[in-house]
Amino acid sequence: MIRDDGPIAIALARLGRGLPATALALAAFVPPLAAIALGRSHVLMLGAVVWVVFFGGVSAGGRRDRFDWVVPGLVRAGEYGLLVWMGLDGGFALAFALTLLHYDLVYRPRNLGAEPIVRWAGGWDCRLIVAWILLAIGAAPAGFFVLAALIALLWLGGSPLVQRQGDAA
Amino acid sequence: MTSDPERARLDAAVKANDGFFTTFFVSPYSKYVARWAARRGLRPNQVTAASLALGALAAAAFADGRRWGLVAGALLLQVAFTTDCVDGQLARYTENFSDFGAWLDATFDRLKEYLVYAGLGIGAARAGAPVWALAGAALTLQTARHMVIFSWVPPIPPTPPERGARVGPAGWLRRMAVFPIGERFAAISLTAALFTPRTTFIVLLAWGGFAALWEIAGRARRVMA
Repeated sequence: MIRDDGPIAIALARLGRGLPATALALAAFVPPLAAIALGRSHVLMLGAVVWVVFFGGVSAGGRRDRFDWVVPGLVRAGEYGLLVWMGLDGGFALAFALTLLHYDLVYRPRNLGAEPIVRWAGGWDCRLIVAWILLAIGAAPAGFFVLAALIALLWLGGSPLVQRQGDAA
Repeated sequence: MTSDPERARLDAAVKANDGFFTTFFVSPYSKYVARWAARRGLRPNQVTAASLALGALAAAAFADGRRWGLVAGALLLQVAFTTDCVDGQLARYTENFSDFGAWLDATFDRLKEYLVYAGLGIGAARAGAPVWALAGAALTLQTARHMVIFSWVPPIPPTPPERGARVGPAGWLRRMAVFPIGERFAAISLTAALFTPRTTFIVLLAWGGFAALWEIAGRARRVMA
């Protein structure tokens, strides 16, 4: 499954063992997106991040079921939605940079038969926590833009656009 | 003068299972651009790169935020989209396929679209009416939709549609319902040129939201059957 879980989610996954993955992912990623309508306070955002990281992590261990093809879409919606909510222009930039890694997660194995590079980017769980900390210490939106630039560089550096020249030489 | 085998070869270069806008408004002339490119000895990957460059120019024009910038961006985006159709037609016409080409085409398509969202977002902010939440929501929805599509494994492998098989009005409506790239880029160009980036993102969210529900409902029905 193309979930892009980080270390926190992987550690929490055992709590979800045996439970249905799709129901867990719906409960993890959808309610915090509704919290967006309640305002833009840091406490509300912390609550949403903790909810998504905890239950999203638990959902990583869920049992595969016949609707679990919606799960990767829910993980993306949860991560990007909270990032845009927290960072606005910086959040857009960060979500944009992440799309590069998340499409790489699909296209590189499919078209090039190679390992994706997204595993070097911390996972959605760690990124959400880092984003909230940046916001809380007053480092947004600059910190969001720096993070977006680093992720874009990681994508570019690991992409066949750069790597291929090495093969051809 | 075009001989019949030559015409058949050119027609066969057009993708069989494309969307409505692409099939009726782009492919009828883009195949001639593809033939011209083939005669000039251009390679598909060069055309793919040119399409991204044109998309980046469109994004830069959108980022101006004034009316002429939005109109120029809309026109450039359509040129970029035509160029994007040409690369695949050129690859099929000249039988020049590569794994790297497939990766490049897919990756640059996504990059181009989101650069345009960013350009529209910057343009709206410079015009004094920022729409970052809407722009971010549109990017989130489109990526989440793709992730669902990528993760879907049909319970019964689908049979590819026959080339030249007749598609009725209901069939074309169904293809438009899932908001394919041709329809998305046409919607972006029209709404940005005539209205504001805010309108563009609302249309992307409304049509894309409908498409997401349609896709999920259709797949759910198939796994429950």
